[in-house]
Amino acid sequence: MPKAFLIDTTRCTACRGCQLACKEWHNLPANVTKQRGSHQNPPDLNPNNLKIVRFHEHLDEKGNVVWNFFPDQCRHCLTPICVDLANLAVPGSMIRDKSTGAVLVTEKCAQLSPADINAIVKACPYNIPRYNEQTKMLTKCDMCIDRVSAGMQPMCVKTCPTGAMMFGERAEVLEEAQKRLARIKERYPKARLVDTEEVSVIYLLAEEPKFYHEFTSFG
Amino acid sequence: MPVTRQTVSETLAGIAERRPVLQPILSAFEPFLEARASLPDLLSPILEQSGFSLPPWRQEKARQGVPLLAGVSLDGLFPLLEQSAQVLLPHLTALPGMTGHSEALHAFFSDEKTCMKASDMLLTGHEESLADIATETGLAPAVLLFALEAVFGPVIHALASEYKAPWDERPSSWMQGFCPVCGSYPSIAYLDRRVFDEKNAFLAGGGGKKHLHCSLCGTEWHFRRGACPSCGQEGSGVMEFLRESENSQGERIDWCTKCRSYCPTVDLRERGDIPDMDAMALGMMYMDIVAARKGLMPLKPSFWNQF
Amino acid sequence: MTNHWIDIKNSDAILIMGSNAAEHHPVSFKWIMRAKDAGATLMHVDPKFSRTSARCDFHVPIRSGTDIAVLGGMINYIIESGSWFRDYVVNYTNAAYVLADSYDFKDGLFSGYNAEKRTYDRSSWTFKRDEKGAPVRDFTLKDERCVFNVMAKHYSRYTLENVSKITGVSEENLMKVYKIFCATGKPDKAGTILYAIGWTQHTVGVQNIRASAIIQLLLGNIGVAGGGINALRGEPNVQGSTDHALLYHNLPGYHNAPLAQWQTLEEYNKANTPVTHIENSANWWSNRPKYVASLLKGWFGDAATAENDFCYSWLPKCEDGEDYSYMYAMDRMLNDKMRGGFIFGVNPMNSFPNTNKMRAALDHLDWLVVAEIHNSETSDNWRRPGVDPYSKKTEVFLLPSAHRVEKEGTISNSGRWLQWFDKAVEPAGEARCFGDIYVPLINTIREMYAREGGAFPDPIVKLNWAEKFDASDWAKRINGFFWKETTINGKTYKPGQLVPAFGNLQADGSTSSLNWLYTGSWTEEEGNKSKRRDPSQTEMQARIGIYPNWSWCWPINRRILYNRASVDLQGKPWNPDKAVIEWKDGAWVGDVPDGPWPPMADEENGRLPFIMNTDGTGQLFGPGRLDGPFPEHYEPAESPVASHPFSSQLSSPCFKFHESEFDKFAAPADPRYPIVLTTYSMTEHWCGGGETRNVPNLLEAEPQLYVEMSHELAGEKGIKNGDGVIIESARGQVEAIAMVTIRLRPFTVMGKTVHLIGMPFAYGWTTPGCGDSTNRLTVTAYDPNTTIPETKACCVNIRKAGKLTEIA
Repeated sequence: MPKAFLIDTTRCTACRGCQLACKEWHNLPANVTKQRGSHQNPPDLNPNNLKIVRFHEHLDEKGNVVWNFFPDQCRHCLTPICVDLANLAVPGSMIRDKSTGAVLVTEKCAQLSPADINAIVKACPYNIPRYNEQTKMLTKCDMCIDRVSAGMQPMCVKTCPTGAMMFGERAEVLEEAQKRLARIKERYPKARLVDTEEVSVIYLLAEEPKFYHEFTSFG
Repeated sequence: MPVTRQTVSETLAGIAERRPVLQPILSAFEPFLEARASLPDLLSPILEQSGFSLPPWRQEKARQGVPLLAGVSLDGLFPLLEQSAQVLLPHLTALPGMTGHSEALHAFFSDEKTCMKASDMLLTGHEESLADIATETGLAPAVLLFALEAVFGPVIHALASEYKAPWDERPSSWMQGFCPVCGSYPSIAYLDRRVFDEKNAFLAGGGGKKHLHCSLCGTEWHFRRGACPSCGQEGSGVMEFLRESENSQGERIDWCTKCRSYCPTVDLRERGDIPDMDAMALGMMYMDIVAARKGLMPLKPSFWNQF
Repeated sequence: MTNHWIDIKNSDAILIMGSNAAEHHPVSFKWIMRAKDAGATLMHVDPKFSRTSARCDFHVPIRSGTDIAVLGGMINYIIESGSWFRDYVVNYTNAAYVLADSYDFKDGLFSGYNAEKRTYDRSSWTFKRDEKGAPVRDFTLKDERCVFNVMAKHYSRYTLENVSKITGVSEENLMKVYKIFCATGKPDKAGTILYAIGWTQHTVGVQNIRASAIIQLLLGNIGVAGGGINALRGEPNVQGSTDHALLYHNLPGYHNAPLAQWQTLEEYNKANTPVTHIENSANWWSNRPKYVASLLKGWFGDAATAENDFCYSWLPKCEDGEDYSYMYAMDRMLNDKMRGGFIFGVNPMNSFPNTNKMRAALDHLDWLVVAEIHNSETSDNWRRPGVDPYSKKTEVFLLPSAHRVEKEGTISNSGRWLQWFDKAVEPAGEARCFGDIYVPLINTIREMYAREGGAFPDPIVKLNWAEKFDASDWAKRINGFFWKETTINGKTYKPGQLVPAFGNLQADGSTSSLNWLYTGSWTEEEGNKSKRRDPSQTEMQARIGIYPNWSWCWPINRRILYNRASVDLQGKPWNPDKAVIEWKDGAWVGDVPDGPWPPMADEENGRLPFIMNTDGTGQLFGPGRLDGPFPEHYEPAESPVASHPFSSQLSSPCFKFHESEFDKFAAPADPRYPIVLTTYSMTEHWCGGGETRNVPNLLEAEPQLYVEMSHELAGEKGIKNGDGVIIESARGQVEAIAMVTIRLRPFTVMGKTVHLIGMPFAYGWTTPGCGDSTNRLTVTAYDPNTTIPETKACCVNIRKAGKLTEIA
């Protein structure tokens, strides 16, 4: 049965436990980073950070500060364009795992040409895949497929201390998402779920997607 | 996460997929376990008709460790037992080691007086008297005990369903390692998942509270994770656990370093599904073997953990 | 904390001030959110909009260092609006006490001020007394010299307009906070105040907390569920180390450090054991001689006898008025008055204010012992940037220290719960926990004294010491032992057995205890109670979340302090739905009450609720502090303004400071340093960062020192987000990266724009390229009561940097 995540940004406190747990589970080394005038660090997804928390601040119409946090990762689309493109070039270089819905990069990915890679990266509506020059592989969230197929939760979900992240059967996650949305609308009338029908990683936002990140939603 | 419990067959299928070697024994038990799981619903209307009056839950008694049914007369419950036996005996007697006892068991469960007396003894823990009854009825004591537990358990389960689990309310008045309803030891335990609600909106916590599952009636109650359900000792170094090194799916054995008793336990934080606990208790027999090798004693002896 | 973590859930209004609770004390927020879920309003008053603000109902920006103005305004509002809880205030506080004619307050100064010494003669801050010596009281509160009326007059100057003018908080925001919080002045409502070092690290740190005490007493919020004044304390075991006298000014269990004028135990006891003239005051400190004798017995064992004052004469004595705190220690070092020492559990070369002074001072030592997990700015001070290591004489011994998961023992949490933790793994390599460093070290010194003699060997050689460190052994010593056979309620205890409760401690040498507050934590009957993990409770306890069988709490397992104030004179709870204690059928039920006596309605045996105060009442008028009986708003030692709307006394007349070449101050409204700087810790790095900067993944997430500033200030200074900048104070300069944000906004103070910037203090030079100590900017000015430095407010300037050298 396909799986899904719910990421309730109204509960996220940007502790970045998910960001660090992800790289620790995947044994990815630390990047040498710089302070650039933001808490968002590393500044973007990269081969060593398959998940990062994005920060966005603005003033609302009453002049109050609004500080939004967005744990960004691969959405594991239901009809992933990256998989289509990759398979056109090298069959089997990317797959969508039927049982979980995880969109995965395989070893054959190394056979993709730079032009193919470029096309795949550009095509992603959420700007997720990154290219690892050393391994010649595309890198992105793998839904912790090793953990999930062993019946465990993805590392980011297990780590989240605030309950901002959930993972489970798609039908059940969708049901919970609707329930939470209804409740959160009492406090945030503009609350919404993002691209529910298209993706496996469903974000619950308190306001318009533009107040989170450029590639928050497909629409 | 609103995840529902699996059925018996879903649980057994899951176990068999990972441990094909258990397939024959799981298949053998499946019809019996399924029938047993369906019984409480079947028994509820009969209980209503029986006029059996339930004892009230009393916190003071609970605090003293007295189970709900202790000293309670079972008069009026025979129709439930009869029904339970009718459903279960065909499956029971098909189990390995139980064939050939069909006639004696049918006879036993149609004799109200003996059957109710034996049930009473089961609750009060008079195993020797039970053995006497077994001899009288021409059954091996182990066979009678197994059959009686199988048949009587769903009856108590139906009774327990009439309560709104006062043993799990806070402040908790039930602090024992045996069942607050019937006084039996658990066959299995589980560690729960974290709860997400508005009250936990900032720190959801990690879950992991321990719940024991009664071997006889299936009642579940919260129990202190650092304490031994058998000897009651508590604290650092008392409880330890054993599990397979990889892909254990949260399945483990919690054992007491003081009295060397153990209980199979499922850590639900480490797996996607929530199994049927009775089926799971059977499915964890591979861990019972490990425990036996280590010289540990099961909290609740059963067919599959006596080696 | 007067209350405890879980109790926060019982609040109707939560004021978070001087704390970034969500980021730094996340467990508090778990219970804050429970309260919110039940309908409480959450307010965050803080210079910076943080993740705490984001979770609250609203955030109110305040200029750092002006908390007393805001709180004084609230006191004024409470009195003017009649929000105070009359029965509570009249019966349980000193509101009705009539002040002596000698007490006066004029233009920012209390009576008795000595400008030369910058101290007060406090003898005039007292009550009018009757012929027996008891304070004169007017329970009608009509006497214009009664505390309530004098206080009302004092705070009548704190008008909305005045407060808004000096703090930079809008009048609208002030009213929002005042109205919501003061609605808890009703018997069935409770409000809590949560603070942390955002309140303490000021030249008026103690008075910040005093002001909150006055508010909570006026609203009847002390002693009740969901009320109290709650200092948020964390993993460094601040509660436990305070209880056990980490600081110089007291002995374990809150006894004053001996002074030179108290040469005998009798003199010490006489000066430190209060006498009350109020008949129904319990005056608990009248028991002090028992606790002090037991402490001495614990220290010196068999050597301590009644005849030799239990070796009291062996204790070092402080000169009256002399300051032996760490700030003064550093100054003495600079002046070559100290030759060596031990630095454990702190990284002063990064965390102490005016770090350039601290670093120079440490160079004066001949030898230094540091126990650490990693090399730190302190252990490696001799090779810091810009100095020639060969010119530094200090010989440094770096002892590898165990990590906190590598040791066992207790931590006392904020709610005073004593909780045992186990060792998870053995210390790596040669690392040892502090106890395992100290105990053998003292033994070596004892052997040397025994072998070689010395000037004064007795206090060392005759110590009641252990051969090896064992956490359980010390926990038992802290609880205390009997030294002679004693029978209590029919049970006989042999010498060497544990004392069951502090009520059994004696002044005759028959008992020992290294801290009376903890007596009862480990008993013959129940063993080590810090290990208890039993969640059972009564229904009454369950309603407010008291778990009396979970761990153990000082004193004698009382979970909410001053709980006798939660009931009326008959012992009935003010709020029956959230009762803490109740007098029922001749006995108390619920929490452990503050003493066994019946309610106050029993004129013979009843006792006033504030048993630790001599007169039994909560102190609206508090003569015990050095800088005034009522909190008064004074500007920080460095202020962006030159005058103050309520008095001509700009800054605290008593704050302490040093005068070395390093201790420079900006003048009030100094045009060279017009910007307010506040400093704080951060989530990704722990305290000064000495541990977490060595974790690559944490450094990846927060790699370098930054300075948060408003868009307005950045615009004025031509600074863009991400630019390298230099921040300068009168004491030093620091490089940082600009983080331009809407989370900080300019204030309008006394009609002019004042900018505030904020910086974390987690970075130091031993981590290459991350920046260096923010505290090189902060000020060596201190609270007169505690000598805590004012690291939360000083004045600086900022400019765009050309080339950066500290940050790479």
